[in-house]
Amino acid sequence: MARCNFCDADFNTGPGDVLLVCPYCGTAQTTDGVKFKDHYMIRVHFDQGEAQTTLLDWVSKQLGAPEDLPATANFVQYEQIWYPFWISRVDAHTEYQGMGRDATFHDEWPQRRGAYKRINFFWKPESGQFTRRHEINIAGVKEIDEDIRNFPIPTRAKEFFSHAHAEEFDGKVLHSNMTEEQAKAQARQIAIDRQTKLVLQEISKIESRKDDINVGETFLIHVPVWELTYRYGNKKYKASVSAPTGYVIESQYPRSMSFRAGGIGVGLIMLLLGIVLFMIAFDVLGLRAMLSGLGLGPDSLVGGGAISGGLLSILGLILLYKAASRKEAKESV
Amino acid sequence: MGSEAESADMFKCPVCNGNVKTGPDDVVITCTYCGGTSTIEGKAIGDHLMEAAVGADERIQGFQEFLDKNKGMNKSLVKNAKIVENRLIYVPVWTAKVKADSYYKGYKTVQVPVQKTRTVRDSDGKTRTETYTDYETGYVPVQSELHTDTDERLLARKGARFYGLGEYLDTIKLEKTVPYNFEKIKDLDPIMLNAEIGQEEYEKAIHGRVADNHRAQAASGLTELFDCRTTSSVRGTTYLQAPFSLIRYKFQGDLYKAAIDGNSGRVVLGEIPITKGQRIMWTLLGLIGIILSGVGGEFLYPQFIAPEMDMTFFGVGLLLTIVGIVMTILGFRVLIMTQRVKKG
Repeated sequence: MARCNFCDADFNTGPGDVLLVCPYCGTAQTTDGVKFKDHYMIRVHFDQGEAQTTLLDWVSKQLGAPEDLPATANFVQYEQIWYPFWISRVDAHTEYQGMGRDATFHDEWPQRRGAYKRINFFWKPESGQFTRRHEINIAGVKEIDEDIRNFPIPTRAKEFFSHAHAEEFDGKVLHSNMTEEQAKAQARQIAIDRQTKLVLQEISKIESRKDDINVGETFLIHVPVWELTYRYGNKKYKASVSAPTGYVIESQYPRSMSFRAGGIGVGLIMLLLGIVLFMIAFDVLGLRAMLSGLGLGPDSLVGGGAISGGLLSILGLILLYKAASRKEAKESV
Repeated sequence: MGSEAESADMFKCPVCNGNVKTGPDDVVITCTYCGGTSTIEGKAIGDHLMEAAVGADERIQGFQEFLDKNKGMNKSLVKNAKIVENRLIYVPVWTAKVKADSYYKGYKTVQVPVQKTRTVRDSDGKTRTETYTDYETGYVPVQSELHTDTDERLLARKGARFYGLGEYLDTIKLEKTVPYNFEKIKDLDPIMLNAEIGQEEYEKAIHGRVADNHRAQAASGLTELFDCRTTSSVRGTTYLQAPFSLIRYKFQGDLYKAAIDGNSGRVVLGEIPITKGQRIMWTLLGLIGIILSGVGGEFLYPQFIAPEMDMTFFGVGLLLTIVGIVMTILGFRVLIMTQRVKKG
């Protein structure tokens, strides 16, 4: 429980929440009641109905999705969650010294000028510098789906956060688990790690380095996501849809019985046929002798059996997997 | 769809004194009255250009041409594709010429043919020596340079990306731009986005990007890259506003999308549905492929065990096998694909 320092209202907080958004006046504040100004949002452009229609129309084109899905799916849960993200700009300048690999080459091949028989690696001292500007995006809550965490910020106008707007859709605004300082510290660490990666491309052992890391403007942005659950048949399927752009971040989806039955049936037939051809080709279990009535020559169905049998077996396995697997689909952006 | 963004900030245009609504993180502001563009501190920003945009109908026309070109045997695609979204959005783009020079050093390996002799015993039990070709590894030192002078474009929004962005940015050409004039595009009712990334920030980012590209290019042909040093210089940095549109369309109840260059009205990247008929056709092709490759194998195998190889049979067999396998892969790939993705 926390009390808003600006409108005096009491509201619920979870463990680990340190940057709070008052659900009554919408003010972002630290647990000490200090107002946080750089707090933005991206407006909802797809309301619940539009998000649901977009989701079902998109999901119904997935492989094996039942044709009546858009008509018969029932939404049993719908919630708009506002996820907090910290976005920092970090200027990084790294000067490094260390040992890099190099090599000498010996004994040229006479038949291939410029190519050598032996290579001897050695270490040589190297130094240099990398200057980069990193844009770092950190999710403000720990328990966040990987796909939502990695989804790009929608290309729509940013605005100052308005709680009234989130309320229009009964949106649940998540408090941030980290303070501005923690976000900046983490951004700084990520920037150092990225610089280290760059340096390690150039040298293999870092002996000394000087980092000049400057974490610049850092802001908090809340991005709305529709978390939807729909029922089809006896099962429930979960999906996340970006509320500003209508992109399907991820969705589980059903596969129709006819698709599964067809896939398993055809897959099995292909696999069996493939295995039989293979067995004929390599004369496993004396199959060639059993088939002597067909008038097989000693060389017939060996090369062809191996190739066609191999192809059929692989395809059969793929079809079986496609038919039996549970699926999740993601819209690539 | 909800109303467009209203922002809490007001910016006073230094040219016409008009009050312009801005987003909180905008750093380059275009006045919605006079089109004057300046930084948030009120400094002028040199050339401010835009690409003109075509109307919704012309975008639909370009979209339908794209469908027509990629419809395959799905004759009803153009007629039955129902557009559900086609909104013009002007995105902020930085572009500049970047000249970059890299020196790099590394090595690669090659296979060197080596004639060797060995002793073999023939069917009569006699031994004789024969020569054969073996391959051994050769190490080739590489020292080379890369010189490029490229147009580098960057979407001036933080952490943002949209469908077809890379392909779209490639279509942006300075020759197609005109001085920014909001009057010319006002009637198209575009969403305007200001830049969140300033000039200095862009130039820094682009140095890094070009250097990383050079390193990747240098490393691509090598077994190991020892050193890669890049110097780059940026010139002619230009800010421009470029029109983009995402078309979402429904076909047989399913939703697809296409990214449109709002300047030409052409599709830069789009999704194409695959109908049942097309899946069946491709699967048949795949099945024929399996049979063909099998026939090829029948030709091939006897040549391997025969004392003398008949090159004609061998060639025919190999050709049939390869063609068959390619047909099989292509055919069954279409069977299990969700959709096709085509560039415009």
